[in-house]
Amino acid sequence: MPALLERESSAVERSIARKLWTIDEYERLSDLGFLEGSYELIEGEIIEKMGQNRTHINLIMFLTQWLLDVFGRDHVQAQGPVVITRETGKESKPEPDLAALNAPLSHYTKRNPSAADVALLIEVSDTTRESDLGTKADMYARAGFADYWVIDVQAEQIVVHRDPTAKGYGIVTHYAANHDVSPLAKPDAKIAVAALFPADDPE
Amino acid sequence: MPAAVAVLDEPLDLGKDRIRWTRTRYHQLIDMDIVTERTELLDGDIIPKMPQNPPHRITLYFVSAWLETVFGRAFVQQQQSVELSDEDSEINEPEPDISVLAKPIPSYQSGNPPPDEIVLAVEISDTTIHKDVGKKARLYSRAGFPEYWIADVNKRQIIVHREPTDNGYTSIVSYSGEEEIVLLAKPEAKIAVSALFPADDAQD
Repeated sequence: MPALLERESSAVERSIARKLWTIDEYERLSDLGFLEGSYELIEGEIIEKMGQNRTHINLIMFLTQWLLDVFGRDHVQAQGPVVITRETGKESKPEPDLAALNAPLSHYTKRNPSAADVALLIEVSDTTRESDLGTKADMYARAGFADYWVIDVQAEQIVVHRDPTAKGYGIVTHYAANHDVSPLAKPDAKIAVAALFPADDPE
Repeated sequence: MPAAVAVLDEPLDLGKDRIRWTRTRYHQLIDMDIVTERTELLDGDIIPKMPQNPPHRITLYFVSAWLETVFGRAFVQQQQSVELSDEDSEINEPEPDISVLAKPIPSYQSGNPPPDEIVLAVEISDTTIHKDVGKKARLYSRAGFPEYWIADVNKRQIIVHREPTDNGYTSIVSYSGEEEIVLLAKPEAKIAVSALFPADDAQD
């Protein structure tokens, strides 16, 4: 246990060493009904997923439709789990907002998609901005997800993470309004940042 | 002095949204063998107890042995859960390293000793000093434990907390070396602080 205390690499710092859960324990808790609501396991911590506000819901719907157009129907997973290579003492089973898959969903009947199966990973971030850009970005990079986008609601940007390494993403680019962004796997497709954040809110 | 020990703030990143457990749920986790290691419940977090290294174990032995001679063996319990104030009980179940009880252990057949029957709580602290100085001092003070000691194994000092209030202990004094320490409940009993820790050369 002291070894866990001394870990400094994790952004989930602990003033007091809490129990860290394994994927097996987490799945058992879920099966036994201990987890009411929506959770994910991030680096051994069971994290409650924040309730979605209207902006979040609208962005997810908008992006889902765009991803379906670009990657094809049956190639998009919403809020489903992806596999992260087990890391001792900080196992994870995240459920990213959106994942565009290389193979149709029918391909995944027995297992969850992992980095090799995912063309593009998206988290829509309002209240979870710090962890999506921090702990989760490092975690997805270590697991080798090639293209990770954070839709930063506060800054009205798309933050594109590429070149995953064991120490985090090598390239992190912030795209503000008046830019278009293309998925790594579909360089011909484009989404305008401005399209995600309409300038004039009718209210 | 205890004031020099900084209690770190909660991280801003993911940890803030972590699951919190009620005591009922915590007991279910233990009963169903999901949590099998030794733990405490503090403010809804499940905290594994650190394995005891030799200095910790020896200090626990010295402090317990002395308290047993002063109060009697039947009044001193080790690593058993205690009750807190009603408002804290729902998400807390700490196990002080030592608690001195108002009545002999066999009197408590139907549950943990109530907070007003804890005469003294002691934590032996090495790697857990932040938890013991911060969170536990707050909980024990709100429960009204009249005296709370932290035996700091690394600094070989006893931090004596007295005068509990809802906002924490208002009297916090540390004693070390040959200074004598006195028990609130038994003012005639005294011991030199150094006698409660393993010999100096036994430490790294």
